[in-house]
Amino acid sequence: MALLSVEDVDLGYGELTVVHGLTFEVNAGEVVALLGPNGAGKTTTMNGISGVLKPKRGRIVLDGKNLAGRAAHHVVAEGFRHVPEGRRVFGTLSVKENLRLGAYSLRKKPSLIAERVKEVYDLFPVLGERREQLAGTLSGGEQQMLAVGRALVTRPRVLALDEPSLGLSPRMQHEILGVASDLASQGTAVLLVEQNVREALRIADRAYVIELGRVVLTGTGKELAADKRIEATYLGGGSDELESEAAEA
Amino acid sequence: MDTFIQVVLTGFTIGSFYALVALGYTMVYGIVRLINFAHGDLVMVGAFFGWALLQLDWIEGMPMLPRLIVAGAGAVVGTSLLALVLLRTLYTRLIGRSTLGFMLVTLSVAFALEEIVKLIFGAQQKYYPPNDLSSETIDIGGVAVNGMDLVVIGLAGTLMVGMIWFAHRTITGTAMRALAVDHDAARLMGINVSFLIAAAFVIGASLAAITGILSGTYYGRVSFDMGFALGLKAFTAAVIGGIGNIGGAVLGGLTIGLLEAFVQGYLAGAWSDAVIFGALILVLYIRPSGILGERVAERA
Repeated sequence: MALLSVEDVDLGYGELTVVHGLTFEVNAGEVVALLGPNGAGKTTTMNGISGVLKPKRGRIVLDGKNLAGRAAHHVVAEGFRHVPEGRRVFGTLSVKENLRLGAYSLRKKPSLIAERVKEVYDLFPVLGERREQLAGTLSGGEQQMLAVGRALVTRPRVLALDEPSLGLSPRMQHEILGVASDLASQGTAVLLVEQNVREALRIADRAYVIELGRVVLTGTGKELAADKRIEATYLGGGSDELESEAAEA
Repeated sequence: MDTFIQVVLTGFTIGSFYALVALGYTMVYGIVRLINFAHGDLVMVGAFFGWALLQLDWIEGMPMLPRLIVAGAGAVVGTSLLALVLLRTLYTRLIGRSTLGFMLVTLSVAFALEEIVKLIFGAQQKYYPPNDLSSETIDIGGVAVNGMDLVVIGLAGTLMVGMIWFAHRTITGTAMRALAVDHDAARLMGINVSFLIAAAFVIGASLAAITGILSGTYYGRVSFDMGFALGLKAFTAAVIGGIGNIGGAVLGGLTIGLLEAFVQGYLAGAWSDAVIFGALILVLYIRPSGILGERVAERA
């Protein structure tokens, strides 16, 4: 029995269905990557699990409990944390306030919040140095650390990262994905949507390739990294390096 | 010198009324980016709840202070419930869907509330029972000070400091400020957004009801049309201070109250609206987002 299983889920906006009968699972201690072109439905899938978007059909089961259709704050309390694309930190609030809000579901236990926020400062010392600074004044990499830290304060069982390395320098990309990999080795299930397919497959135990809202290919990270179709579509032509350089600039 | 001190005191008193009402506008705006034009009339509703409770037999025998506290508590509960019912039945479906719809509906509710209160209680002014403090002056350092000014300033000041503390020092207040930035990101933090929207409406309605009771006690009379002009000036105060900013609402309210008191004390009462709205135009010309308005980029 997987920790998180997404079973035959349809998702969309109004009349439009973007994700069709999507089925996949994530086990504790594993990094699972969702790959696919823009518009494949990866972000929609993340929103559907985290309760920002209500599924039209299907079940989303976390540790035996069906989360499909439950409000986002219930999903957070059940241990699923979604770090959205573009980081979405609260720019007008301080770093410390952002982290404390990440622990909003623990608000009845202020001393626990303080302890968890301190753990994030230990993991990302730069956030500790800048705790009183407004989050909007941080660099892109620091904002990504804050966005991840904001999710870690509740010690999630499943951590979903949507494009965590987008717009970051190669060094920072490496660092953020390294943190994801470490968390998985400590038992957290990590669900990863990542434009840097080479890096994603390097740390992923398994991956699902999604096109037009359906799973078209699945396998271990190693298998997919060696797969000719993946090679041609996502890894070919050295375009990654170009993208990384552009991102760094 | 005596006149000057009395004018300053009056300014702080009127300013306290504006500030308490401005806090309601600014809290709701901060969270849903909409102006609730019915907010000023909640002051009137609170004042009438209070007046009706003060007429009850069982409360009439009590000394003035407990009597006012009971009536005030009843007004706060009644006005908050009204705000919740309006939110659930009329406003919720418009929030995030139609800005114009929301504003027109709240404007309609403002007029409806006035007409309903007029139908129930009549168009004549209603008189609050007299209390000792209004008629007595207290001598402070050789200056005769009206006791009610001190009561209003003391109570309103406590509430204002409490609201600033709430917004910046509690996790619920911090969550409300986060909602000003990004609702979906707030949901992903585990924040129950619709609950906090309701909480902001209830806090705003409570402050409006307290303003209604205080104003009834201070001026000794209330009427069905007392809320609209007060609400408009409090809205102006919120904009001058920087709408969405809790400290700005306090600053804007006190500024407008002092302006009004100085114009009435040294010029003529007829000039006060011209000066207040002139000040609004001037402040917005120099600082389009208000004195304490947001300047930081919300997202990098």
